[in-house]
Amino acid sequence: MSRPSTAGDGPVKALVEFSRSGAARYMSHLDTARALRRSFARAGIGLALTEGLRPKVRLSLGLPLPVGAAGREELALAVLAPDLKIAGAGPDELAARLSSAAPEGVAFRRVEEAPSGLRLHPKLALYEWSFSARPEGMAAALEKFLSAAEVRVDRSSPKGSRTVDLRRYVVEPEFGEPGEDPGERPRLRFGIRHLEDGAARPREFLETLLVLAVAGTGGTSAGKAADDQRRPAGAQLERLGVVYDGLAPRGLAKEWLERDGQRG
Amino acid sequence: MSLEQKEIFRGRAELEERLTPLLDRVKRPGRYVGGEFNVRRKPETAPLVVLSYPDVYEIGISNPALQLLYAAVDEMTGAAAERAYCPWPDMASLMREQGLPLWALESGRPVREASLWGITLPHELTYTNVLEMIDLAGLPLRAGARDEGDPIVVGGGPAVAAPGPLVPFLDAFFVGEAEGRLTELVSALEEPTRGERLAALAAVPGVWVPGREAETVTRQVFTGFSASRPLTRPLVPLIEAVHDRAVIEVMRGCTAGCRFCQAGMWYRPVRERPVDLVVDAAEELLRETGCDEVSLVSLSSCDYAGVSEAVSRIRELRTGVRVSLPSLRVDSAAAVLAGLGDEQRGSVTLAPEAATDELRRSIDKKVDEAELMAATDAVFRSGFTGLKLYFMLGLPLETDADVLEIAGVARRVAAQAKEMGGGRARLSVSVSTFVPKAATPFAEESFAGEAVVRRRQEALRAVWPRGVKLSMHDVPASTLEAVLARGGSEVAELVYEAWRRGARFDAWSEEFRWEAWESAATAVGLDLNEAATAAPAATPVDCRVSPAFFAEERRRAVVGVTTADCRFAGCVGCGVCGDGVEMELLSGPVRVTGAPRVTGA
Repeated sequence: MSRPSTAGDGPVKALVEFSRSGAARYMSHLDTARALRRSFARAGIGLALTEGLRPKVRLSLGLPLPVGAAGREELALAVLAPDLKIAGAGPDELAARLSSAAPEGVAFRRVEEAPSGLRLHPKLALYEWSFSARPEGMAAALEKFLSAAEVRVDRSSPKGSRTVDLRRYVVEPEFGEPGEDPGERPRLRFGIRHLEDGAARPREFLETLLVLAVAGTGGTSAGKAADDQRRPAGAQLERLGVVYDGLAPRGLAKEWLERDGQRG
Repeated sequence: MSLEQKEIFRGRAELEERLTPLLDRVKRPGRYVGGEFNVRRKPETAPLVVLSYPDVYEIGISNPALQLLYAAVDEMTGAAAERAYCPWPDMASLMREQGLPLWALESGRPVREASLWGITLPHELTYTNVLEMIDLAGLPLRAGARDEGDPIVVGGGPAVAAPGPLVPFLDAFFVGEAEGRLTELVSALEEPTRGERLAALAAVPGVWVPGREAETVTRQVFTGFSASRPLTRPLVPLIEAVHDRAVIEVMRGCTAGCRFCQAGMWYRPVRERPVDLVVDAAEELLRETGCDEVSLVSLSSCDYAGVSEAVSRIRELRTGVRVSLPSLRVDSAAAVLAGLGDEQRGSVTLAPEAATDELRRSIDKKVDEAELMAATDAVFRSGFTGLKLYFMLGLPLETDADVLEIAGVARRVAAQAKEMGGGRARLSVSVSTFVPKAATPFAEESFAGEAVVRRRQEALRAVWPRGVKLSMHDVPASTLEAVLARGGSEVAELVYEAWRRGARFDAWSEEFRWEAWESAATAVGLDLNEAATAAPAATPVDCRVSPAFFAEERRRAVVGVTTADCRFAGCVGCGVCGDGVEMELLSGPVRVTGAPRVTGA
């Protein structure tokens, strides 16, 4: 791990890894960026400012996390202030200082010099839904999903509506039953490929599987029952990691990619 | 049950299990989870004091008074200070469906497990939210039906000046500034029975417990304000709030004397904090909040004697620090803006309140047309690209011509904006409806009434200049505000019936349900338009300003004479100072003369 050059010889672009959980899960992307900026300011670690009449601190986050999702290995790029002098401060020390200045639920894992020219363009994100109770028919629904050539869902937004083929984006979904540990929860782990025309959303993938599961048991997907099916009790989303263009996969995403060969 | 014996609730883990599925189904789930920067926690064995603002989280978390009390209870007493805000209707409906009672954000304990529940009452249109929160907490709505294990529910804030509409629902009211009485309030909770706790509370100066002997209660003034350290470790929310900045209260009270203004009478006397204290606190505040903007707040920050020095010294603390003054007075705006430099951004609000010199004199707004135009000129010269002007409609002695002249002012200021703003400057005008409030010289004046307000609003729209944004208050909401502001205890049943019919968040135009209020009025035999213009009910609250001063101010309004600001021209005899309460000005003491005195011209 390389150490940020903080001796005052020009701005240093740093790659910042952090996690969010607990109450912090409910921040939006902009909320998260603001919380990180405040953590830097509270930790006394200056960030460089943009040029111009209305300077802003140079901090940008990677792939936005959905509101409600925890993030285990999130990345941000920060440009440290040119006059920053942190004699002897190493990456772990900077991360520790940031963590102690961060709100509950946000922890900084490392701060290191970013590869030259790096921009955080996502290629693949690894997610996990966990459930407080076993969702009925999930395994069968997954089989059905994987055997289909395409699985289209409607997506609407204020800009209009369009149809998205989830099969193009969802990679290697796996449903894991809980083991003997009473604290263990059923989990659905999957990757989402980020292509030029966009990506699937974790929630629409889960909802699709749950609708397929209902259909598989001869149920109906209409009305309140379907609504409940789409919102299984205690379903929680966590992003385990993101693979970015030009940056070697790291952490859990790296392990996941390596397990069955290069999936991305 | 004494505090020590009180059962401690299961807490956060169980709450999370029940709450998490609901958070998926509501707008802005971050409203319900807390976890802010600088959140305070004490062991769950400490007595629980819950503080609430009866509106949605984003509004409530921005309220400086609640932040102050939260920190003060935590630092000055052995109690654990926690918070709860009013859940938005989507969450309220799920809470009822799932049987999940209102919880305190820090520990996840139900609010009903608190020893004391303080609810601030910022204005009348939050009253149905007070009932909503009490109901969501699982408490009996009526104070008389609460039992030993229930918290004592205390109302505070400026609306307690006329507490009638909430008397049946709250156990007690605290009148005035509570910082100096917190230790006594928390100590009273140690009494073994509910009755004894209420009796002990009733003995604390400023507390009024309806039904007890005391017929009047005197507003409390925090005499230690000037010397006390400003709040430097406030809660900083994780989600976007209405105000995203660090605030320092540089001064409390205002003696500008605007005759319609409840805050101007309620928070007297003026107390200024030394500049050194303010700058020192700003440094710590910036460090603790991570904010890059400090707002020097008060009712009228440009009247703070140390404003220029404080602004320049705070700017020197750190590169990029911005200092804002949220409340510029028209008569001093030009001078203050000149001191801020010409590279300002964003927008500024000025409140001439009335459009003609004559009506401004009548409401004691000491600014003439030339000063107003100089102030707006200074706004655009300073680089601001937005200007919002506040006016009121329905003021006592107002004529149709006064209202139409608002359009005239808008036209002239819009021309200034066009000339100096280079096409970027925008003017918007907000015209609210005057509602007479208790503890003001205009308390006895009548609300203009729905018909007059509608007619004048339509007349103003008809002559409104193109290109200037105009917003006006909803007439039914203003009528309701007048009913509640004047109402005595009999209006309490109206509030209850309206809440029962679904009235909530009455200050939010998208949630306001006039039909619920009309139906409630029918049920309790009240005509809302008549009630809005009726004489105000008697109040047990002595706001410290003397009735003789109010009477003199009313007389002066009629003859169109202003009253000097006692900070600059000597005592005008409002009656507030005395018995240890006094002005604390950076410029030195002001001699108190006693009786109202005829000043001004």
